[in-house]
Amino acid sequence: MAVIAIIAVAGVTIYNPQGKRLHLSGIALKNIEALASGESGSGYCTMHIACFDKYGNMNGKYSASSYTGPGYSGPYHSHSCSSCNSI
Amino acid sequence: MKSILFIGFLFVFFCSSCNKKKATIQPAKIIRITVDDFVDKEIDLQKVVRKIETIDLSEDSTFLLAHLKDVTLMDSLLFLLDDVSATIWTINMNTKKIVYRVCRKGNGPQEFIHPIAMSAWNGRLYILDMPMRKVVVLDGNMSPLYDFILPFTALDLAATSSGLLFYNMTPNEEYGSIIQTDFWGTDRTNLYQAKKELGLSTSGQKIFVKEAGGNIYAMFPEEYDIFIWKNESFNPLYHIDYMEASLPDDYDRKRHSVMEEEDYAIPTNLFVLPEMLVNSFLYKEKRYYTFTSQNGEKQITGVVRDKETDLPFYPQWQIDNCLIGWCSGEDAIKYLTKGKGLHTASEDSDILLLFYPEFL
Repeated sequence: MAVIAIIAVAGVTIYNPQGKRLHLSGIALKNIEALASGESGSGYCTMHIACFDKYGNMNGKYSASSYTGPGYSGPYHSHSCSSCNSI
Repeated sequence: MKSILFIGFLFVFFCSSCNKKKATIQPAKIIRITVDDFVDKEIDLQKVVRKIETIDLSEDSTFLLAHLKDVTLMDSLLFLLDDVSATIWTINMNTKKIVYRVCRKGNGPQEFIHPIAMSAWNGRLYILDMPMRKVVVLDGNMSPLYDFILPFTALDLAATSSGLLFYNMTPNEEYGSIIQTDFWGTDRTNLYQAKKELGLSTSGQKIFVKEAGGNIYAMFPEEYDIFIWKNESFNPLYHIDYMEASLPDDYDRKRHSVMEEEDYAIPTNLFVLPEMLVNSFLYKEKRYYTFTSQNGEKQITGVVRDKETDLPFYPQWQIDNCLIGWCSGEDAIKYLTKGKGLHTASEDSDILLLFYPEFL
């Protein structure tokens, strides 16, 4: 429980392609999820989009965006460029 | 007897007119790119780009561009879409200065959660929110006008004189791969059904490309065909053949991540210029560019490098005859301090790069 609380407060730090540090708090991430799930209570499908370095070469990371649709049953999965085990 | 002859004449006339219509559809030109011709080859940036302009995006250090997702032009205003912060930046291209920065994150009216594409037409800006299946319409001053919900999930859009074109990432029997709607998302027409479904991952490339002459081109994700939008339909224009490096026809995109493939050439970005076609692709973890003259007589392929200053060449968007990329001030500092750019910038800044290609 303490770990969850720490994550919720600490959030995640992501890096944009230019290497700048951006911070999303756990509450902000929950807000994004809640906003995106406002349309439908059903499941999701997720698309992973490759991330590239400054020269356009793949850096092994992906961003993910979930969307709703008929018959979709997957969990909500959304993140900025990061290493992702789902791919 | 006369009536039979007349009906026969009508039949022959009808058939010949049908044949004429079919004859107007030209087969796609084939652009061949062979591995031996490009692998590990480098092209000097100066050889393929005649001019570079820079725009400093960090005049006010309290605002940072998290991730540039799309770019579009409306008259002299250039709009930049930051999909992470759901912010739209407006730049006056005459002064190269930032005019507005507007964040519209949320699920209220004319707000978006994860905007992934935008396109401008006739003084209006159309922004596509993928997870919400929503299109938000703003005017050039960023004032909200209206929004509408799509019945499909789109990955890209293009605003045209006759409505909006969408790339539907989940085509089915009801909605094809490319759908045209009016400016309110109704009156939908299926224009094209892609041969292959989108897989587990994609490059996130632009599907639609607008060139200076007003033509719109389309290249589906990780596919080898290029289409032109003409007479309200998409017609094949080019087929890029990577020979032995082409993905097999029976490649299963639902079981494998195409973006992880190293043995195949994975097409990404497309740029169409009056005298030249530029396409980039990934092969064995490197990004290559092919520059092909429109008549197909000249072609060069390789990794594009600025050997003098190492300025990153990674354009992702096209505005008129200009290719647009972005990088950090740190990555551009060598280029800028050589007096080639219009501005100087700090290492922490973001720099928009405008590349004007040199025709072959």
